[in-house]
Amino acid sequence: MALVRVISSDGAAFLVSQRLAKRSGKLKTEIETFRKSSDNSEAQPEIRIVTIRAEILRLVLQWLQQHQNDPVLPANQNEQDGRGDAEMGQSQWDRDFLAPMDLGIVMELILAANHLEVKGLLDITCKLVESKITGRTVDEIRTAFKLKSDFKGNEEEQTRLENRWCVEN
Amino acid sequence: MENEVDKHYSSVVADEVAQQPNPVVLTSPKTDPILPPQIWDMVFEYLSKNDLEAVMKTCPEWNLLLQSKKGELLFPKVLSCMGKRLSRESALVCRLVNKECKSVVEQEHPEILQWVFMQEKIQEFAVIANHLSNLQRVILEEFEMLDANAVVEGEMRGRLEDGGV
Repeated sequence: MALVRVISSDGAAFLVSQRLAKRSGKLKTEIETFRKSSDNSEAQPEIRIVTIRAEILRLVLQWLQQHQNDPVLPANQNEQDGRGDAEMGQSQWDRDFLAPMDLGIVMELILAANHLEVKGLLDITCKLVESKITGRTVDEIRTAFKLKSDFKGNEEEQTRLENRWCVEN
Repeated sequence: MENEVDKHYSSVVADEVAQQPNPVVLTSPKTDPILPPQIWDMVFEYLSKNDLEAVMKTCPEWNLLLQSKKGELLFPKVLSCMGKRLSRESALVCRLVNKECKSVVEQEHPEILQWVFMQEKIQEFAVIANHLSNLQRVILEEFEMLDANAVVEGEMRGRLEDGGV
């Protein structure tokens, strides 16, 4: 079985099958680039992902492993409304997978899924974050995501007014 | 300096403990020389958001140290990744969170700025229309006054002519 070494930003190496790795658009491109530039066709590719740490990379690979037999969704499918895909693709396993994660981990997972081009994972994690935003006030969102307002003077009030115009449209 | 460090260390620990369900002990990665977490925290205050994100991904110790800053560092990028997956209602609420989120939401949902632009133009037109309406009223009043003067003048001329006769 052809393998590939994927190395996280904090230096942890994961040995995974190329078949599994190629379910990520980014890893697939990297493996193909390595093949073209390498003289030895048997050489094991080594891919360093400098923007994803080990804990998150492990979760992405775990998700890929679980979904290795699913059809690969094209990155631009249903671009206008990815929510439909998430509804369809979210299994009980996915719900159990996401349940223990705090929002910090989920946010890192979204950025990782986006970087590695894993559409199914991106869909379900975005859906989770959307559910943490929908129906909440701005103060509740700031508290949940540990964010601070930096609006000055009447900037926030002006933005609220603009939002009201958009809702009326 | 020592007191200042202790004070700072206490606040760092208090912040971190407040974020965690169970108390955590912050440690430092093996560097040469080894610096305690509270000193790293002081160093990190001088870094940009992009550098802090890179630091956060360097090792588990620094990831834990920057736990409380994750939302600030990652949330705008997450909004950008979500793009159109974020409904219009949620996008509008996120627009109110802070300036960076507002900017990201407007990039991902350009129709929001179009609506705002349209509404601003409508308001400008309303002001102009109001001015025009006022102007029209003033002109009409002037005309009415002219008419009234003409009537009075005519009457006076008539009387003078009658008197002359």
